[in-house]
Amino acid sequence: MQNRWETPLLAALLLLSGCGGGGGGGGGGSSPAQPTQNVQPITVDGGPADFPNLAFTSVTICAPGSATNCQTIDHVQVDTGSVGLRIISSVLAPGLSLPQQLDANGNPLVECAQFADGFSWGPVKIADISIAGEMVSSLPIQVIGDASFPTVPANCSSSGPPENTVPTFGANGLLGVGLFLQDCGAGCVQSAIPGMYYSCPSNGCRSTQVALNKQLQNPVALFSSDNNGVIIQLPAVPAAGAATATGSLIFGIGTQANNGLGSATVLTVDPNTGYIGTTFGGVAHPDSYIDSGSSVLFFGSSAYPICTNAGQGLYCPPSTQNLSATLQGVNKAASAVTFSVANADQLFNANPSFNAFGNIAAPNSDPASFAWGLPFFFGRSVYTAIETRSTPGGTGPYFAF
Amino acid sequence: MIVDVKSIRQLAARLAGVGVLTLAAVAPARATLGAIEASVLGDQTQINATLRTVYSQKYTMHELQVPSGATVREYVGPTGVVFAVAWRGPTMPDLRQLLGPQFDQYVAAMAARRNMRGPVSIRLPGLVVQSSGRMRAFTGKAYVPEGLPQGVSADDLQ
Repeated sequence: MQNRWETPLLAALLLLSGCGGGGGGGGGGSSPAQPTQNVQPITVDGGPADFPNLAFTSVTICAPGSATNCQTIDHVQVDTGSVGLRIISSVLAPGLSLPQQLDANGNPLVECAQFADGFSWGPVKIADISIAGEMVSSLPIQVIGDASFPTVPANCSSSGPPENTVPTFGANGLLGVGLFLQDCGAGCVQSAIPGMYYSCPSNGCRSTQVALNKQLQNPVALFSSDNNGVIIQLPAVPAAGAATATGSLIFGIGTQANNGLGSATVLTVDPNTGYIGTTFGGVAHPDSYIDSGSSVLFFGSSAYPICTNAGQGLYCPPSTQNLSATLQGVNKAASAVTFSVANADQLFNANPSFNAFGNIAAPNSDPASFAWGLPFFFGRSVYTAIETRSTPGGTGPYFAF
Repeated sequence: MIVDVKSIRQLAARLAGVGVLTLAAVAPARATLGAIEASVLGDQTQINATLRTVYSQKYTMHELQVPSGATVREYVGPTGVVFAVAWRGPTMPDLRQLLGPQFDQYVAAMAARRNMRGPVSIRLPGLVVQSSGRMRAFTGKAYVPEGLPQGVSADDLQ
């Protein structure tokens, strides 16, 4: 559709930082170590599939135990709404052979990752990863769309459209750094939940239970330091949007000089769902969440027409609406925010090459939900603390900003 | 009125009792949008769910709950036809089963959606699909706009 800016220089810079940063950490020697390099650049530039308002970073993955059989993957989406590293198989170098994760019976473990807008199918494999100066050895990751497991079980594909390729996924991979330690958690230990994990011997796949340590893990929680959460920092963008926005993914909360909570308000979340509350328009929205992985703000309003042109599916108020809401934690802490909803048709038509917008929104199916997607992150430092982990602001899970 | 129904036989008896359907209709049907109320029973057995039924003046709501904690609610109007389904839980429901033949329409429409990630709100001829949430906490619904009983709005269906 539109022509998008190509940004080879930026991509090159990301690659450099992805590789160079790796040298600083990990040694784990005896003496008071230098602080680990805990900042990784992120960019909002449309990425490999021309998806505006996704935040991307790069991750280096290596065959387990190898320092040379490695690949740095750029344009991996940063997602506070999921847990675990997922890579689209087509971007992996053929020579980077990662071992298959096996279930308790020695059969290949394959996952159906579910999202509100579709599913991603592929095997769980084992890799060493590094990002900034942080490292994890033998991390279970998902390789989406791997040709070794071409047949998607019916009770996986029945959850929605497939998102197994870069054009449908919108990114080369997904770095899930959300509130939880595992993607599924105790539910998948207790029972074989349809549409989650599958045991795949040669005669076919069936849903299976999975121990916690074989599930996809929050990679941050497995860092040797800075392992209690993340901060996403993105600059404010102009009302018209911007071609690109660049910011930082910072590991750890209150673990180093550069990741203190400062004056941020801690909003604890429901420990099962990750929900917080939002009061908007005098109405409570108890199913609310903050999610860098959602492209826009999602909330219900019959007041705004839906765009019919370039912004199809988004809100198109006749003029920009300046609005306010209050987010509340389970801990009763509250924080008021202001935000704007502009006419997405006008924004996209005025600057077809722009990729970063702080003021676009769309309807939400759940009238009790306000999903604070990426526009919320522009102009803020947003903290996501991992369940059970201690921070100066209390024990996770929580959001703070 | 809230009625807990422990077995298919009890439900069937109840439904027959209120004259909504005949028992002959109870086949391994699937409760899809537009299907008859008896298809709820097919769903219950298929997903190993417990069932709760709530009768109101405007519709009957059957709530199926699976062991993982996910719930699916199937709304049946005065004509005895499922006009809406809604879901809530840690995983997505079987949308192919819930949407029936229209599932393929939904998937095709999503392929044409603008390049974005996150909650879905798709309006097709005769079908609205809305899906929200992320891993561990999904909500959504699908309904036939023309099938909403008089006085029922989409926001009533959760």
